[in-house]
Amino acid sequence: MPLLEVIHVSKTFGGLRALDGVNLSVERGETFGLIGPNGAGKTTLFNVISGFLQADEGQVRFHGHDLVGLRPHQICRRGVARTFQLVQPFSDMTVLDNVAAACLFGRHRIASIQGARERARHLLELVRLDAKASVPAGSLTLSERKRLEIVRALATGPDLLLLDEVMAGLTPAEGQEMGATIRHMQAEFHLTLLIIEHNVRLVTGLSHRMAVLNHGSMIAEGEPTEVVRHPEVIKAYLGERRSRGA
Amino acid sequence: MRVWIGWALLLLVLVGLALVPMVLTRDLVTALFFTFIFLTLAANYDVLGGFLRHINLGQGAFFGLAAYATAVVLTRAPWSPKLGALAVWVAVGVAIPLTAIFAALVAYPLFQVRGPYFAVITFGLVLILQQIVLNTSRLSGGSYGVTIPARYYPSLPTAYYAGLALAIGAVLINSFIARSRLGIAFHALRDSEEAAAAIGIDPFRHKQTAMVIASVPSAAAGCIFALFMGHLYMETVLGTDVTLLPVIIAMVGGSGHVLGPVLGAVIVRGLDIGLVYAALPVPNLALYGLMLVGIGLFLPGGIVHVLTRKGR
Amino acid sequence: MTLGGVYALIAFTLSVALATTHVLNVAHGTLMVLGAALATLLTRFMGLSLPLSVLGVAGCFALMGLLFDAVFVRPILHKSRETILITSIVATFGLALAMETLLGFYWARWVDPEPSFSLSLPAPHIEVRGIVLSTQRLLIFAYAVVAIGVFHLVLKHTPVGKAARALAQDYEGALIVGVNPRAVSRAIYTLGVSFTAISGAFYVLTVPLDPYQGIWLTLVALIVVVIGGVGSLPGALLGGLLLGMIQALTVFFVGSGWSPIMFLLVLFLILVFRPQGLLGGRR
Repeated sequence: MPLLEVIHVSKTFGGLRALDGVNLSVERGETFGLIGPNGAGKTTLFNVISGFLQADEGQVRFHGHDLVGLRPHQICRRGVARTFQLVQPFSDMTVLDNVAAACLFGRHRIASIQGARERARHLLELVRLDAKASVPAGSLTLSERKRLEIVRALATGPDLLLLDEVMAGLTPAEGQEMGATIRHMQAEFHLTLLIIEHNVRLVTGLSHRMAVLNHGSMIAEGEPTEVVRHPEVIKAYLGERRSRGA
Repeated sequence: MRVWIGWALLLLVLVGLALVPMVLTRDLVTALFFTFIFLTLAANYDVLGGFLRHINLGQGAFFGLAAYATAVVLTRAPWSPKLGALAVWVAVGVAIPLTAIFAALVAYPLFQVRGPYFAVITFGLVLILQQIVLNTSRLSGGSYGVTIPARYYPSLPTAYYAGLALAIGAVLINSFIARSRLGIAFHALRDSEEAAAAIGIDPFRHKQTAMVIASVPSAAAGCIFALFMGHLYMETVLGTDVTLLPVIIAMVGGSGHVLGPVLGAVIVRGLDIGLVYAALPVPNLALYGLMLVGIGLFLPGGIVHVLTRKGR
Repeated sequence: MTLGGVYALIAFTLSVALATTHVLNVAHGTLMVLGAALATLLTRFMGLSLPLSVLGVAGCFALMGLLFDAVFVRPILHKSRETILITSIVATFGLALAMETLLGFYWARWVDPEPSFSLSLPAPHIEVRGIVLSTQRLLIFAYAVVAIGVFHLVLKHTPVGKAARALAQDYEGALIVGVNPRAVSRAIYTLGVSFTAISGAFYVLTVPLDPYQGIWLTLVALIVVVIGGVGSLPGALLGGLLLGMIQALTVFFVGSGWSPIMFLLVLFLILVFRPQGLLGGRR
């Protein structure tokens, strides 16, 4: 049984069909890359999986149980964590407490604040933010905020981690580093990853399998190297580029 | 060393406050009693206003509802005088849970809205209770008010110490929240509700909890106030000035800081008592209004903010 | 029912100001009461005719709008959205309290010990096929429709109106393309406050107001916005008419004191069962 199954999910905003019968299945332990041009529906799909939006039709199954109808905090406690494309740190809280909050209220619900902070300190070392533990999260740089966003999601103790453009806006060196961090985390915590990324090269390097979303429908799925050569995919990306040039 | 001085100072203030009824005049003791009541409400206001930054202009509704509930139970039920103080305990035992349930229920519609809508609609709670009181004169006495039988009145020292205990309790609740899991959840919700939900914090349940916590001491304050005053008018327990004073106190002192309401209560009530003696030709409510304008435009963080910034 | 038009109007002006500047003007309803007070003063105590005093109200409150913008909006316009909101709620709530208290106090001392504002229009009832229509009510409704229409046209077709809509849709984006939020807010408040004050004058043609109803009227405007759906003009119209109808029915069947209770009840029901409002799409 796959860990996550998205079955024929559709979502419409006004006249816009953001998701049109999307099917997707992610196996336990794999890294699944989801790419597609701007406005293809990637973030909408994340919002549906994590409970921030209700699908108009279709099912989202996790460990074989339907997630539809659950609210975001309930889905988090079942073991699905996510990051936000526009990072949302708790700006007035310290970096340490950002992560400790996730330990306290995530899946493991550590009972004591002391215990949660200890765990948080350990996790911050993973993303090299331990030196910044006691500064307010609002004062971090973008690259640091992105790392905080990931480690906070990780601290909820998920089986499945949804990463929404965590490498966007980073320098190439920072992007490489982020890739290494993600790989390391996945190995240490036996995570399953579903990654949305605009940077096709980085995500191709990370993923075991990939899929391409365009205008709300899946147009290709398979091995990363095959998917990026798929004619439909090239058309979706280049077509977009051509129309932009015109 | 500094901590030690702080604790010594606190102890001194508490001992001083405990001795007050034996030393000061009746008028001043009464004025202090009112200050404790308003401090309780201000500290309660700050549970939502400070920790969650939801401006709740309806905090006074909890106070007024409990005051009226106490009065109604004591006057409309056929109490035999032989029962004595039992009636008071029953009345309080009805009023406080009733208010807490009211708080839990109104949370459902109120937390559907945020920001500006939340602030003004919570004030609607006060307005609606005002109208209910005015329109149910058989129960509440309407605009003529309702009188609690004199045998239930507490003595001034009793009321004073009850008020003091409540005020201390309300401030302690806030300082406890600030150090607890609940405080971390509130803080996270205040900074980003979406991110908080994404890490497993239930936004509605926490806001509702905050509202219920904030309603209980305010309700108790309403009970004591009703018993002490003896006669309740809509204006004295649900009037716009009564319901807004706690908000002003919290904001003057500094919303979001445990000591903010305490500082605010000292300053605002000090001014208030001063105004009574000054007997200015302008109504007090107008001055409160101008005070709010001043705070809003020039001092959005309150006085605590200025002090802590300078201290650093 | 006719009051529904006025409710829709004050809701519309309030929400346009809120959307473009993020300032919530709690004194909105108080300005309406002040408009009614000034019109009463001009007609009843200074003997001006109704149209002249409405013009007077319009002029005075256009100035008032400018002043309001300069003191309460402009100094905080550059701050963060959340700061603007909290600052404006506190400051304008204070303003509302100060204005209504002073108005009540000095009106009682200098003009009339029992302050109440009302205007009368000695006009006959019109009868159309057996249905009696009161001229006052028609006039109020017509004013509300015309004012909403004018405001709407200003927003749709003038440069400053287009700038206002740009700010409401995407504040940062509008700033980048060169929209000047100060010019927009000055126009919005001059026009909005003036319209609101006039609506106060028309309102008291049928129902008198007392000095302390301002904050309640602001609340009514917000209820209209929320039940109609935030950001929806048809929603505001529908919400206004709905409240007008509820008020008429409540007054007829239960008593006038109960209509505020009914308003809040309807609001709470809609919030629980349809939180996005009757005509609100996304939120």
